[in-house]
Amino acid sequence: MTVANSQRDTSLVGTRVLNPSPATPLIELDRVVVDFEKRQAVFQRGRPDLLRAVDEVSLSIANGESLGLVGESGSGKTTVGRLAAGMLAPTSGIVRANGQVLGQDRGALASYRRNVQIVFQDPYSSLDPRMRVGSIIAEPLFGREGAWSTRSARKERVDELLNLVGLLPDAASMYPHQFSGGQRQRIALARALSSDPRLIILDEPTSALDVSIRAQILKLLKDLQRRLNVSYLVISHDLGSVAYLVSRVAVMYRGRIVEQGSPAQIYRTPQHPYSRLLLASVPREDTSFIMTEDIAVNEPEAIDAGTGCGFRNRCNLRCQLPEPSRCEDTRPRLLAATDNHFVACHGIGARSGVDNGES
Amino acid sequence: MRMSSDSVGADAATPALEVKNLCVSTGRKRDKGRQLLDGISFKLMPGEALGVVGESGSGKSLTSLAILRLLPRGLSVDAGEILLGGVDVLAMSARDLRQARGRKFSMVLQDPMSSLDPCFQIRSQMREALQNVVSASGKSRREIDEICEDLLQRVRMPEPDVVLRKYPHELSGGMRQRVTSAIALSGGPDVLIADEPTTALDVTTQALYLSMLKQLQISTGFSLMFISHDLLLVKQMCDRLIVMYAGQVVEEGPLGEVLASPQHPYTRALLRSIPKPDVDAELFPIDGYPPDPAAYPPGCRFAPRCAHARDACDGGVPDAAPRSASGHVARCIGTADGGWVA
Amino acid sequence: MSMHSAPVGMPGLSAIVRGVIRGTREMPPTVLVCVFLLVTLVLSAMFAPLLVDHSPTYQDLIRRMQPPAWVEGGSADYLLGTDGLGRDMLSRLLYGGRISLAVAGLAMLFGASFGTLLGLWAGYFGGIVDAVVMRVVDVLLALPTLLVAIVLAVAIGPSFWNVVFVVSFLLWPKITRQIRGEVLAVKEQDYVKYAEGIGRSRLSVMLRHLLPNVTPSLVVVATLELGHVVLLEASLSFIGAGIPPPNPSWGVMVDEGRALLATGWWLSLFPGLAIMVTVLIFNTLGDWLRDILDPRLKLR
Repeated sequence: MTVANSQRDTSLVGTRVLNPSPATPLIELDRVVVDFEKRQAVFQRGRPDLLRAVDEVSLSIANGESLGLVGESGSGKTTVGRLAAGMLAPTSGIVRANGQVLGQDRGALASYRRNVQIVFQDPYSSLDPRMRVGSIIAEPLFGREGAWSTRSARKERVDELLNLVGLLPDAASMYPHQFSGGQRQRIALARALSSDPRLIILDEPTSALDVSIRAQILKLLKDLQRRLNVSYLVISHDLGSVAYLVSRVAVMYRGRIVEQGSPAQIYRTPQHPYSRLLLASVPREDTSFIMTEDIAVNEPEAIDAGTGCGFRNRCNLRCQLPEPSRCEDTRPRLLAATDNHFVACHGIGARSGVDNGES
Repeated sequence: MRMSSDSVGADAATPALEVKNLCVSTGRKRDKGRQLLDGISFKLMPGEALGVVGESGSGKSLTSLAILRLLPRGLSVDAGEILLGGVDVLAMSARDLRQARGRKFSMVLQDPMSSLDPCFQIRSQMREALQNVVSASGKSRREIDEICEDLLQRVRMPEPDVVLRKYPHELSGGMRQRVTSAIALSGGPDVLIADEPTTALDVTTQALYLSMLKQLQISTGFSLMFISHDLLLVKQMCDRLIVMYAGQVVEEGPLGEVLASPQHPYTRALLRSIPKPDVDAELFPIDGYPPDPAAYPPGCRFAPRCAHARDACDGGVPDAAPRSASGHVARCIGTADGGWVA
Repeated sequence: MSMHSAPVGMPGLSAIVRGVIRGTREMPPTVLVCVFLLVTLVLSAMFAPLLVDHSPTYQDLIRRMQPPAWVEGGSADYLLGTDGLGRDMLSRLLYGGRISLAVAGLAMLFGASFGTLLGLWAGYFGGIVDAVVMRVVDVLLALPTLLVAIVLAVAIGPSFWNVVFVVSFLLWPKITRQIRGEVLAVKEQDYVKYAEGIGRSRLSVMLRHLLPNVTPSLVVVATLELGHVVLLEASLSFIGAGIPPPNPSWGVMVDEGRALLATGWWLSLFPGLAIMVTVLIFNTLGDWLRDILDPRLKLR
């Protein structure tokens, strides 16, 4: 049944299968864990080692809301994105869409996938080089009953979408290699929009693009967000892009969320040592070099966080904690520092002013 | 470890690297030679850090390849000089060039994965590199290993002795980049060309690496040519800046001055388009796309995308006119004296 | 599942044609010559009946062992001379070409189709199917081709279709191995993951995305293998395990000429030359196709 939202561009209303009530989050991850098997040597005995990519992550995105996941390689953010897209199943924990658990039910999974779309980082490998752009964009619509079952309806939709992303209609008959990186990302975006999704997962949407094109794509994304009232899950290491598109940010490190808050909170008053390291590392216009070694040390070997804090081997902030060993054996939980600003660190409140980021 | 800069000599006015009117094209008959680099000129003084900013298609990487004489097949230098401490690199014999590489000039490239051979330990690769620049005669293996450890320590590698025994795939990207940097600096070159050295690295790793590189540059005194698409990185690392667009240098000058009062519309647009990591920020993208080398516009190459363009801009490529006494030049008739742009 | 775009093979074909046309502008002279020769070969084989008056099997014992027209003793009637049973060499050559090329073409068609499908399946679905198929491929490739061909051909008897079968049986493992390797790489591409992610069945992904993208590689390997295939058929016919008499094929002709080599040098020479030239053509074309197709079609 369609939900005609007066704020939205009604000409694009398709057949929305899910009808979310305002209170139920669009998507919810409840303490999900994803373990990958490490490749085993040929003659190694026993079970293969497991690599924990996502370590008990919980998050939710409400209808119309957008969330940013910030982290570097190894943080698990890409895996969370894939989880949210329904491309992989968690090792444990629950993924819920509109209150319903996403299990093995093929029907539910299929309709979920139409409501959640993904745009990949690499504009070159995300489009099939052998397909025409029109077919690529219409791919999510194949085999669908209802509004888009006829060829002409699909063609109309493709033209509509091309217009929406700022490409000419004759692009539909061309091949991906005839377009630049930025244009290809637009095509990928048109594809993601074709099934009229409620949530689009953007996995590093602008990292592979030229600097002058990035702003174009970001602006387009913002524009579409407003017009279509679609939610985003933005996964990126680029804080600037993320802040521009979302209302909440979660910082991830080694599979765990270490801080969560509004973009203003995270960027102006980061609390977690890793967030502070990240922000200090980003070159800013107004500041010059910051000695990031004061905050954390060089990249060490990957340690198994185990039951302690995953950042403990790198953390260089001096904390006057009554029990210094808490970082070793107790995993910090996400606790509220201020209003709606959560941090997972034992040292909160136990650091002197300078170490707390206050100047 | 650094050898005294006998190549540059006592005359501090000789640039460590000077590129004069460098032109590179594809030179293939059918294409009628696509002009990929068009009159590139700049100077790099001893001890200075020069930033080269541009996007894909700007020619910034090609410039470094041309300097190192590592242009891919099919591309050739049509005109220009590349003076390394006063000596023309383009005119060097193969033997002299081999001597110069590593000792006079050196490079760190973007992809640390492919810079190191996965089949050999770090130790062997460093030894091999050292053979070329340090006379290994009479030095035992242990002595060479010590030199290697020393080099790794200079790039602030934790536990150099352990790292030496490892294979490239056992190291992280940041560590690999430090290894390649150590190798690049082992011969004590006067000029180090770093072509997007941190693009493949995480942002925190990048910060650590760049602070190491900057400090090393200041303490050792080599000249750094730092190529990047990221203006902000260049701002951190460099003293002077050149901005490249579509195969030309469109602006050059002291960093602070160029960023405070950019004289070319492209530089201005670039500065404005950088997303700020803060809320409530407006974005100002640059419309359009960089031009195709096969079809450059007749006049100013940025004119099709320039908000201030007028008909006069199509009349021909503007000269790099000086804007101040400190060597600040820009190719724009609009921003020049008597122009129409503020 | 309704596909609203062109049928599966088509995008691959048009892209290949475009690639070839693009490459034509830069064709080295050797390749140009090969293309010309190939066209001549195929056309003359197709239109053989129109080009020669004599039947390839009609025996005229009076006119046996006549040398080619330009040698003393030859006549313009039989341009390339006659063989031991008085059959016209030229028409036997052309008709033989028909058969040799037909066998090669058919064997390639069956062998490549089967090999490709198997390779797609094994590469994409993996698991036990992949393991089993690849072990079979390994075994078959380890066996000496000609020996196996002979054994098989002798066992099932000489006939046109039997030869086609034997050759395609020996061909498919090479194709499968190549295609499977390609598929392993292609299936990791984001667009494949995307298609899977939106809920396409694996079969649909295999046919719609994987097949067109491995086609260029298939074309290259098929062209290169055509040379082997022609040679294989010729070898089988040469030892009598291939095309049965009185039908000519080049291999048969070489065999027939062997005994009479001293007196009739033209009997084995022309078919031998034909085999050699054909194999050369395919090898050259295959190499050239590999150079122009692979990097171009993988180009961003």
